[in-house]
Amino acid sequence: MRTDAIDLDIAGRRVRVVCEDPAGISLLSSALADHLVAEPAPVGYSLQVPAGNKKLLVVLDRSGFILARTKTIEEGVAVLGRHLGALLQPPKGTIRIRARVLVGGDNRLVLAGFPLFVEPTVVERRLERASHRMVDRLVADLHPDGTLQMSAAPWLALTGLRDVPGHAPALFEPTELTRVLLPRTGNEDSSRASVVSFLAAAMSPAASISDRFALAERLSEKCVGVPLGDRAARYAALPG
Amino acid sequence: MQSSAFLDDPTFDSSVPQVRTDAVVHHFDNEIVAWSSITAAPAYLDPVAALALQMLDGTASVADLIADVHEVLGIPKAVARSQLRRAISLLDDGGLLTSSTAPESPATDSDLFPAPPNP
Repeated sequence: MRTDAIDLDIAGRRVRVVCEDPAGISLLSSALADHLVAEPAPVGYSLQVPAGNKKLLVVLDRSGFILARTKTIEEGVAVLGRHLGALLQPPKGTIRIRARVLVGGDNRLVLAGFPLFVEPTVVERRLERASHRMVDRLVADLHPDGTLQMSAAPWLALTGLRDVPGHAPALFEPTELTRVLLPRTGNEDSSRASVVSFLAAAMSPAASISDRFALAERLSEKCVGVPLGDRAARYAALPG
Repeated sequence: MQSSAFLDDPTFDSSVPQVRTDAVVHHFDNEIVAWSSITAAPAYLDPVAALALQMLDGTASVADLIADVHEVLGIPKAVARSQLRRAISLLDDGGLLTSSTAPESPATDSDLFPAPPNP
């Protein structure tokens, strides 16, 4: 299997994308021409073509988390292009948090704390059955009042390639969250203090401690615990 | 972060732990979330650790506190000692004691995160 790679500099952040499909590298190289650099960068993402009896292309991040399983290279590249948008500067005044955003009907937004909807790998079909799609970012940008706003990836040649089932692009209009899901390890719901601690710890140190505390307290009002040991619980916790 | 030496030391009982004064502290009923200026993340303190945070003012030794807890709550001294050791260890891990040392901070991009996964 021939593997190609491109090295990128996006807003000062360097990242390598490895791809086993020459068509994918071609798409990425032309759409991201302004960001290509010659110097090798740390591996950030990879696109793997189906092997053996597997039929789907897999998009992985540097930790090995599966970001998407798609039927075509165009879909895979579209998902990857959206993830690359997280390397851009967040919208001014927002606080970045390690969490996943899901979009339901009427643009209802759900924030899911790591590792919910990252690991175990999300089954796109199950997500669609729950009438939700996941935003292709592993972080969310929130204003201090708790509304979500994300910087849109400007590479339409990538992100607009395909509408990928179960996946959604970043939302650049400020939108209020409907629910916050947090991982729960025991049987009992976490106390408010432990929820605030979890949320504040997941936020970027670019924000002040007082701002992180304030946002964490605001988000904690919408929190629902999701047991980590139950693989189906995360889908059931999405608002119907 | 390296634990304060007195925690594993035979002098634990005679030690006089003191809470840092520069931590940001938020109370939630009988629990606390405290954020030390030397750590990257806040510490969640259960009711026992939250109580310890308020008791360790740098004047009372651990032995004094054990005696107080035994006298006021009727808890056996060995249990009180064990609970206090755990609570003080939590405070130390959270960088909340004057003897706590700052953890080695990983290289971080303030808009992203120091550890995997990608944003």
